[in-house]
Formats: sequence, C-alpha cells, structure tokens
Amino acid sequence: MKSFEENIKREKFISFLRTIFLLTSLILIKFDLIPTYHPNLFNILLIIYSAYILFTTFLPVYTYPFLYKHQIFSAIDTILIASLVYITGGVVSNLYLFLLFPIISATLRYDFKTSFLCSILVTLIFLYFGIIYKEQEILSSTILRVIELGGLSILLSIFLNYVAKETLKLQLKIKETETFHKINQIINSSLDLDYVLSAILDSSINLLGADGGTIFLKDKETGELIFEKVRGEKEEKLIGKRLKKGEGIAGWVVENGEGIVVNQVLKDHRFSPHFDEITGFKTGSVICAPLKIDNEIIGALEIVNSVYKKPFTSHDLYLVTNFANEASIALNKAILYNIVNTEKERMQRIIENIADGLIILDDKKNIKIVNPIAQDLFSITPDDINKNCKDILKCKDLKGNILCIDCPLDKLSTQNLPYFQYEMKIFPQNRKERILGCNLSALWENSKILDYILAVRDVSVSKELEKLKSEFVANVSHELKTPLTAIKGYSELLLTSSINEEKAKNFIKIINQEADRLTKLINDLLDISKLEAGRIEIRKEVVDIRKIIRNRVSFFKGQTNIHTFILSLPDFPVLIPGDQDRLTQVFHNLIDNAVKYSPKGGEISINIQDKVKMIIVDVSDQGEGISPEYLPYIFDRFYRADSSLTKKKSGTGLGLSIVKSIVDAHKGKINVTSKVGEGTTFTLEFPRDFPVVDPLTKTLFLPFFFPLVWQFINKARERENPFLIGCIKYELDDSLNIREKDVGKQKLAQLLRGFIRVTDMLAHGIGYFYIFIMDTDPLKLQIFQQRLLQSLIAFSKLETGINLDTQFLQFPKNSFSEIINFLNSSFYGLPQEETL
Amino acid sequence: MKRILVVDDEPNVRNLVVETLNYIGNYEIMEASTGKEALDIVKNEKPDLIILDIMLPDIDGYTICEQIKENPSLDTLILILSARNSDIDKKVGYGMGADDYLTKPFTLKELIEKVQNLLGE
Repeated sequence: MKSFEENIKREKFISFLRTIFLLTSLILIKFDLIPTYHPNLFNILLIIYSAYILFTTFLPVYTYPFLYKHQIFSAIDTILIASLVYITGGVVSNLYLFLLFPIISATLRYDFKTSFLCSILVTLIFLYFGIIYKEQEILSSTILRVIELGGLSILLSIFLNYVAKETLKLQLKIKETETFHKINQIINSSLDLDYVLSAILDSSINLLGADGGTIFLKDKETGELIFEKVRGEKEEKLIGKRLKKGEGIAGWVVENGEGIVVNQVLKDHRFSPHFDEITGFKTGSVICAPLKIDNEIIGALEIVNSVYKKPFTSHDLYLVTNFANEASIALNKAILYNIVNTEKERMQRIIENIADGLIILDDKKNIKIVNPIAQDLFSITPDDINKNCKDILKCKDLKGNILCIDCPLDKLSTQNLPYFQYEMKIFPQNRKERILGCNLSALWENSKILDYILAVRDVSVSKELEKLKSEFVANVSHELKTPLTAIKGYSELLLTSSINEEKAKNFIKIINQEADRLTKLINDLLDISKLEAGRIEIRKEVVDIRKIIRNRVSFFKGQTNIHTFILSLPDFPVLIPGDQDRLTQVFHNLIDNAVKYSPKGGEISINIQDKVKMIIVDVSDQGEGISPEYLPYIFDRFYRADSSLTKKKSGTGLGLSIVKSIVDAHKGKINVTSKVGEGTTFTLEFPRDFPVVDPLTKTLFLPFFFPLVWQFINKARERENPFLIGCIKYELDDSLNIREKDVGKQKLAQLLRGFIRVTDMLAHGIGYFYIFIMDTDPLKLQIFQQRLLQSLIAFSKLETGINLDTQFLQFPKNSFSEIINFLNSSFYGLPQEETL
Repeated sequence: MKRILVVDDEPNVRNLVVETLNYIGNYEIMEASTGKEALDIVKNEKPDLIILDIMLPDIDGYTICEQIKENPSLDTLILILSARNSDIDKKVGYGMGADDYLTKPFTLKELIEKVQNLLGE
C-alpha cells in the first residue's frame, strides 16, 4: 500500500513538470517568442495539449492502478513534445531540450527500460528532424546537432539511471535497516511472543511488498507444522491448521534446514495446493526460511506472492532468512523466559506448600520471603516484608529470653558454619506458646552471606508427647514399685521367724492383694499396648448391660462405704451386642474413677436410657470435677490431669483411654461433662445394631422386645389395661439335624404368629419365644390363653424332638412386680455363649 | 523412746514400714496418709524422724521437707522413701533438706540401717 502511495506522489510531481513544460512552450509560441513554422498544426496541438494537461492534472489516472500504465504516458509525452519541437523548427527549435522530459520522467519512475527506449526514440526523432530540415540548414551543423542531442539524451539516460538505481538501492537499504532495527527493538522490549511474531511477519511482508505470509511452529512430538501466525486472504481459516511432517514447501524447508525461493509453485512437486483451496488465494511464488534455535529447527517463516505479482529475488530470500533469524531469537527468548517463569512459579509453589515454615532474610536480616506456614506461626502480615526480623519474629530461647542478643544467624558467619540447628520458642498472640525446631542455612557468595534461609517446624506437639511419655513411664514405674515394695517387704518380714501366725496370715493376705494389683496393672499395660497396636478383640454377644453395671456396682459397694450408688435402670434386661468382659472393664474403670475422684464420698449415679435402637448410659459423681482445659485430653493415653508430684490418685493414666478404645470398638460414643467442685458425668452411647427381625423366624428379635414391652406395660399399668405375657421355652433334641431344627423353630413361630394381631408382639430369642397380647377384656385374654395352650400341647405331640415349656401371666390378675420378676428370671436362662 | 512418723498414702506400704520398725526396736510410731496430716503431726508431736513418701495426694513430699526444715523450732530428721529413683529426684530431695533417701522397693535391711543410722543407734 505504501509503495502505491509513493507512486502517486511521484506521478503528481511528473504531471506538474509536464504541465509547466507544455504551458510554458505554448505561451512562448503564442506570443511569437518562438517562431512557428506550422501555424495550423499549432492550433490543433494547442487543443490536444490542453486536453492532455487537463486529463493528467484534474483527472489523475494514476490513482486507478488498472487504468494506469506509465510507459504509455512516457510514449505520449515523447510524441507530443516531438510534435512541438517539429512545429517550432525541428533540430533548430529552442524547445528541443524538452524532449529530455520523458527520459527524466521514466527515470524518476525507476523504469530504466523505458528511460533507455525513450532516449533511443528521442535520438531517432532528432535524426529524422535533421533529415527533413536539412535543405534549410547547413548539413554539417545538422549532423552536429543530431549527434549533440542524441548523445546528450543517451548519456543523460545512462547517468540518471545510474543515480536512480543507486538511490533506489540506498532507499531499500535504509528501509531494510529501519525495519530490522524496529524488529530488534520490539524483540528487546517486549516479552509478548504473539506480538513479536506478528510484528516480524507484518514487517517482512511489508518490506518485500508481498501478499501474505505464515509463521509455522513445529510440533515437537509429531513433527507437524502448525500455522501459528498467518497474514493474507482469509487468514483466520488457516490459524491452527497443520502441515504433516515434510508436507509443503515449509515442510521441505524444516526437514532440510535451508531457505528457498520457489517462483512457480504450481510447477513444484513440494507445493501443497490444499491450503489455497481453503482460502481461495492463488499462490504464485514462495520464499521460505527455517527458524532455528541452536541448530534445532523449530519452525519456518514463509512469505508468498500471488500469481499476479512479480516473482521473488535472491535478495528477498536473504531478507526473509534475516527475518527468520529474528523470529528465532524472539522465540528462543520467549522459551527461555517461559522456562524461567515456570521454574519461578514452581519454586514459589514449592515454597508455599512446604510443610515447614520458611523465611528468607537478606544479609541485613530483613525479611524477604515468607511461606504461609511461617506467616501463620509468626503472625507475619504482607506489611512486614522488608522489615527487620528483630521487630517481627520475636524469637525467644527455650527459657523465654530474647534470642536476638545471641542471634543464631550470626553464628553462621562468625563460626563459618554450613548450617545451624537450634530450638526456639515463640509466643503468638492469643495462642499457646510454640516450640520451633529451626534449621538455618545461608546462600554464600565470595564468603559473604547473600541470604539467610530459616526453616522452622512446630515441634510443640511432639515435645509435649515426649514429655507425656516420660511422665507415663515414671508413673508406671511408680505404680509397679508400690505393690512390689509391699510384696518384697512383707515377704521379708515373713522370713524372719518371730512372726506370730495371725500376723503372718495378714501379711500373706496383703502380699496376695498386692500381687492382684500388680496383675491388674500389668493387664492394663498389656491392654493399652494392644489398643495402641489396634489389636483389641471384641466378641459380639448378646449382653445385658444392666447386669454388667449391677455387678460392678456391687463390687465397688464392697470397696467403699462413703459413696452411695444410685441406679436408675430399666426393670428389664438391656441387651446390646457387645463383649461382656470388655464392657465390664469399661464400667469398672468409670466407677473406679468416680470413686477415686470423689474422695469425700457422695453419690455415684448410673442411669440407663433405652432408646430402642440405641442405649445411653450416664455415670456421674459428685467429686472434684475436671477443669475445662483438661477435658479435651482426658481420653488421651498417658494423660493424667494431675501430672505434678502430688499423686492425687493412683492409676496408670490409662483407664479412660482404655474405656474410650473399647467404646469405639463397640461403635459407641463417649462424652464427658464436668464442673470443678461439682462432679463429672460420662455419657456413653451404644448402638443396638441387631437386626430388628429375627432372620430365621421372621418375628421380632428379642433385644428389641424388652424396651418395647417396657413401654407398653407401663402404659397398660397406668390405664389398668389387661394384657397377657407369655414365655414359650423350647428345647430341640440333639437327634434333629440343623435343617430339622430350623424347620421346627419356623413351624412354632408360624403357629404363634397365627395368634397375634397388629398391636400384639411376638419376639424370638435363642430358645425362647415371648408373646405379648393386649386386650380391654380380661375374659378374652383368658380364652385366648387356653386356646394357645391347647394348640401348643397339640404341637408338641405332633412335632417330635421339640419340647415346650410354657408360662403365662396376666395383668392385673398377676401383679406388676410378679410380671417383672417373671421377665427377668426367664431371660437369665438365655445362653450367653451363642454369638451373633 | 524415739518417735517416728511414717507418711505414705499406700496403707500396705505404710503398714510395712511400721511393722519393720516395730520389729527392730522400741519406737513410738505415728502414721499419716496425707501431707496435711503429716505436717500437723510434725508440728504438734515433734517426732525425731519422719519417713516420708514423695507422691502424696495433697502436698508433695519435697514441700513438706522444705516446710519442716524452714521451721527453726523443729529438728526432725527426714528420710525420704520414694519410688522415684532418678539422680535428679535424689538431688532435689537433698536440696530440700532431706537427711537420707531410700528408693522403693527397699530391703528391710536398708530401711533398718538408714533409720538406725539417722537416729544414731
């Protein structure tokens, strides 16, 4: 586009010159300053000239490229000026020098061929004029004139051509230099690869006056060339398209690593016409040069002209190669920049995600980089960056003295250490003090420290744990030594002969007691080690938690006389799936604690709430209570609220930890609430995760029967509603095989099911059926009982191998307490060893 | 007759010491199971020797030691009897003014020797 504008400027100038020449000549002739030899011809010429001047000045044809051919105008100029010279005397005319105008104008257009042709033409014209006018003038002077003018025009043409050519070269050189300078500037000032590549492509197309171009980048994995940047017709259609490995001229260039010019692509087998079909562009000639980084070819720069344009020259290839080099530099720079950037981001991410705190300080101990963990530990805000560490970190040594006086950072330089490890304390606002393990190192340059690298790790927890462990060991050894002391001492006393029999008996009793105590302690320790290894075995039986609690309470009643036990337990068995021994251990430890921590006595209350699908047990004391700060830790192993020398209570500090582990193994939950001086309550939740329906008999499973019946009969008692409760105990002969036993059970269940209605209940335990029937009419119940009994007698006669033992009670015929006793006693016959 | 106070919260251990003392000589023996009791008895009865456990339910043995030694009207000798047997514990014990230190479990001979030694018998 730019070159076309330059053409217009030039043509305007030539047009102006032409107008001046012709007008001046016409005026001079008109006013007889130059003689006219053909006045009639002059008038015709006057008209033609005026029209021509008007045409070229006011209707500038050169603005329409399709109309304008400057060679034609050079020819018209030559003919017109020659005719002007002709009518003013030919060789003797004063206007003969004007004939040089077409030569000058052609040269100005850098059209050297036309310029030269013009000079020949002018010479011929003079020669002709010389011949036609020779009769009126002296021949010798005519020849002289001809030689003079002809030679002059030829020389002028040659000279002007030379000057113009050199000027053109110079201009091009300047333009090239300017372009490359600009490109260099862009590459140096911009890291935007997209922009740089666009600029290089645009500049090369512009400099070559080409129609379009492409920058290809090689896909390293497949070797394909990707259209990265495209200029030209419908360029958007090509972006992102791919040339197969070796496809097209660009493919050849990338494979061979050298640039080429192909001026008639259609005749070249390497050319791939496929992409012209996409865009509709007609490629005529192509220049392509490879993009190289360290001898590795990473792509190509291709410049194209359409078939309508002039072919490319070898100089153009030189230029494109240079552009390709510039593009390679830009790409290399961008790749390096990307690598640096990616690495930087990666380092940043590593620093941010390190599990330890990291602080980088400069040589003046100003904080430079802090990762999130260090930020959190030291409460560092973004404002603190670049501030001195003394004002921000506030490091203290383990005794709580300010560490800056003897700053560990200085030790690196003064003692020339590669790294330095130490521990310090910090006191974050509103939080507990933390102990930090520090690892200090430095970046050195020429024996001068550039940066300090401080990595810190919060070791408070492990320190605390270490302390707890050693306390635990001390506690355990103390607890082991106490019974040992007694055993050893009393046995030594026994060995002295002068002990009377009564005393000796007492001593042996004590030794026995202390040995028991030692055993229990060792068992606890074994338990805890098992728990620690996750190896606790829980047998799932049907256990009556109420029975376990009663058993433990009666044990502790024998141990203390200052505590009162208040039990609030259901009248019926509270059956849950669990391990009898382990659950006994749970309640033993809890009651033991309640006794220990209420040394002044008081009430210890245990309360069971049966929620059918779950049971809740509360164990409360009126003891000293636990202060809130210790509450979260009381289930921790090795933890004792009293770790000081005053051994308030004996024990290993394992009891509650064991309790929690056992409860967890039962899928239960344990919670504690406490008030100092008022007492502590432990709340346990055990799921009753039995199947509700007995899978074998399709009747209610026994553990759910008791809580439901409990609700029903309480209501019935309040409203004085009569009900019947029956226990049908069955025994299966060993002569029956498993299948026959199952069938027998099912038949019995079927029979019983026939007697119940929606509001009634039938439950199955192992060896038992319970039946519960409510009715407003006691008489109906009586009849019902008789019919059921008869059916059962008939059943046992019919089914050999099944022995039945049946017992029925009716309310209010039988008293409420009678019914409770009946339910309790019948249940206690339930075989415990059958596991689920 | 020398008067000895035995302080231990474990009745069996306390009883053992008492039995041993009874066995070797004629002493007037007093017993305490808590620190507070012990201090009361020391003040009121001014025993010649106190055999003192460290881990007591209320006040620890070192504190009792210190309080006895700080009171110029008392010249009670102190024998610490403790399951804690580290050097630090012993140092603390002596630092607090204990006259001797015996670790649990002990042999009767050790106990007898230390008691007799302290009482100059």
